[in-house]
Amino acid sequence: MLKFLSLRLTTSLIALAGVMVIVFFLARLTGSPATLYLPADASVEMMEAFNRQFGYDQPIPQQFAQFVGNVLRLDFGQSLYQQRPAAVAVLSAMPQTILLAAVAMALTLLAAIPLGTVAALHPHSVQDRLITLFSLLTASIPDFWFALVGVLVLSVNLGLLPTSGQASLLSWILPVATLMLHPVGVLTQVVRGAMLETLNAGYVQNARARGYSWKRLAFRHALRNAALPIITVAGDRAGGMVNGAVIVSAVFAWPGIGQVLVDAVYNRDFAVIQAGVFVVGIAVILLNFLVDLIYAAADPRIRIS
Amino acid sequence: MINLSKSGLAWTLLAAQAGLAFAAAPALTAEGSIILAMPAEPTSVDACDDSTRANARVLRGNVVEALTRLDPQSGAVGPLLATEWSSPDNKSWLFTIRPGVTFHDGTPLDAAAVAFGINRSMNPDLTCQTLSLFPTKTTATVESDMVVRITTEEPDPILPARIAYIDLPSPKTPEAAKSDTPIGTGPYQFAGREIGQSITLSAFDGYWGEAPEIAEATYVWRAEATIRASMIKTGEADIAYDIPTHEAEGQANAQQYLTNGVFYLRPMLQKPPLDDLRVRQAIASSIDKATLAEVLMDNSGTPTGQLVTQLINGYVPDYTGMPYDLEKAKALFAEAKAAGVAVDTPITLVARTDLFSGAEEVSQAIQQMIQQAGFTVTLKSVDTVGWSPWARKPDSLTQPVNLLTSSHNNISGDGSLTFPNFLGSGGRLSVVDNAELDAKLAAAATASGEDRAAAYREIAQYAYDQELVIPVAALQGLLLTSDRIAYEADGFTDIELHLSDVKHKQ
Repeated sequence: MLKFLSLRLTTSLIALAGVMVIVFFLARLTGSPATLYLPADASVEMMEAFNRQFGYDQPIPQQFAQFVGNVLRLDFGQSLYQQRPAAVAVLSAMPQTILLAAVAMALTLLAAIPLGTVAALHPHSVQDRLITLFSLLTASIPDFWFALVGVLVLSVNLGLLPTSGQASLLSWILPVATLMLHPVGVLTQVVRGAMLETLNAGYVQNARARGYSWKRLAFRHALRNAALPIITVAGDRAGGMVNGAVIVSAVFAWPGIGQVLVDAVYNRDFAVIQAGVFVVGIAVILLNFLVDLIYAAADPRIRIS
Repeated sequence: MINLSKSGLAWTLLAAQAGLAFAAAPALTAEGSIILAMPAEPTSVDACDDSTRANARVLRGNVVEALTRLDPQSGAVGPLLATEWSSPDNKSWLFTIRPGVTFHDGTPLDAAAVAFGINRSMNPDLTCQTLSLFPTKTTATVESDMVVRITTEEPDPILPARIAYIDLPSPKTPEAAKSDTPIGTGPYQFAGREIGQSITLSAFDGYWGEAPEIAEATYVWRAEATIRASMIKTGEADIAYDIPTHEAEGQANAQQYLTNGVFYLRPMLQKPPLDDLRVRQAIASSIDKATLAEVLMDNSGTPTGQLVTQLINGYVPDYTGMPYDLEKAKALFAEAKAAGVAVDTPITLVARTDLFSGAEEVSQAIQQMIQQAGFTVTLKSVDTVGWSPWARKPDSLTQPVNLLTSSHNNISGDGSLTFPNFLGSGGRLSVVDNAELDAKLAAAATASGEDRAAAYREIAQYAYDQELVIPVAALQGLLLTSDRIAYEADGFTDIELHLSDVKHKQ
């Protein structure tokens, strides 16, 4: 297991290094930030002074060499837009992102596992059809639309929740619901499918014939055997929540890494783009590690192999 | 000797007592707080960068102030931190500094502080955004304790108007680096910033002018217009900027205001077919500005034929531009084709998507309209950075033939911040190379008063007649206010919102 994890770590770091190199060059291909940060009629001298000040006048290979040297010291440079170290800009957004993702994923699992299991226990019943309809709807509704309609109905019309910001605990409800929307639908279907397959397995039918209750069978035995695909999809969705909660950030002004990265791209804030990709990359690597460990805990065969 | 009766003496004593009580009474103190929902966070909070909308809306007139101020209705220059000014010769100006003014850090405002602020803004290595407003090298020196001399390399008759854009920071501000905690002389001081979330300003007790009514203002950033409007409806905010018309329907406190911004097309004049006047006239005739403004711009613009608004001295009264006439456009297209002009050459419509809400849809409609006249138009959507090489020299001169979408905002009152940039052969955003026009621009730059206005009007009329630029719509803004406060939008609201103009509703 340790050897496997070491190999995973090595390949993940190589992939991260590759992504960092690609991001560095792609970012530079989008043009100099001077055109964005200076007025449209800025003189050539002003543009040159700007590029000189931030090192964009250097040849790209030289900029890259400097970038590599700095990254090895975990120095990503200064954010043009935020006017503070890029690493600080990114790291200050991560706790909110991770907390929001953790809450949303926990609630997603708490909703999807029982719903999917109930649907699998009563295939083609009214419950199954209702749960399937619910999961298809949540997986299909555009999250952007859901967020805005949520604000209009729950905040403007009913006055139950704040529109945005983080003024109180109530401020969490709409962002968490928006973030859960797609994962809860997808995971419910995954749980249903995995449980149906497991519940139809011979050992379950055998146990059923020996008088075990469906409830005990489902939640004690079948669910554990159906866990692998659920863990896989949940891990994938959790990664998406960490690096992709852009809608939540944009609509609810949630200070997450998604919005920081999108702003950095629009503002040609190369240092923040690079720091953001690095930090999100590390977060995804750690998440994958966590998923591997959960795999091993859920299925002893994985530890042995 | 004055004789007073008993009752007269009593009244006199009462009056004296009342007078003393009035004199000893503390100035009215600011109270309450407001929240402003803004679409974008400032890119810089340094005083020398506050010529852009996002920066100026927070800082200008609130935290930092300049020597002069332009009147939002007339564009006339008025005193602010300078009480008077004069020009001893055509290359220098003397400004007398207002006495009794202190910065928020307690530093007194004097000529040395003013010279520091102006020279700091002019430092090319600091790349201040306000620097591009000055066409000639400008330096400030101390003439006496309270008089500063500003010298320009070339004559600048409108320097007092231009200097209204140089907001003065405390002399303790770093000279060679941008500041993230602006310290000025304004009615509000910078109280704190949570990057990505908010900026808070609090009333400055030692302000030299009339004390503001509102004690604290917090600016929050909400990119979505629906959310900004919703914050007013739910009472979470008191002022919300840049609201689309449909979000303001039924709102009693909605205010529309002119932004002084103009959306226009710039034909690439160096290459066929846009080097031909008939072709440019055909394009101008094919654009149905009224429909664009009403339907696609959701009434956030009004059709215009001019690059500047009434506030600017180059505005041509009653001129509305070439009217929409598709048949005429087709006829001009046919005429140019018959004369051998390469009208079939594909024209790239460079559509900058971030000019205003719905800019991309408007560009698509313009593409369709021009194509109806017979042209082949391809649409290229770009953001600001992608737009730059099409817009700015020297790259703009080597691009394929194109129509560039752009917007221009001039609130200086003077045409010198518009016409040289767009029509002069040396203008960074100009694709015009016309010696006669250059001479007219040079003459206008040194003229003053009505001569200057007439010179810019003549230049503008020539540019419109030649379709060197094709103005489409004057842009309008819309803001919402809550029931708790009173604020009246003016000609500068789009770029400056003075918190001292915000009052508690009685």
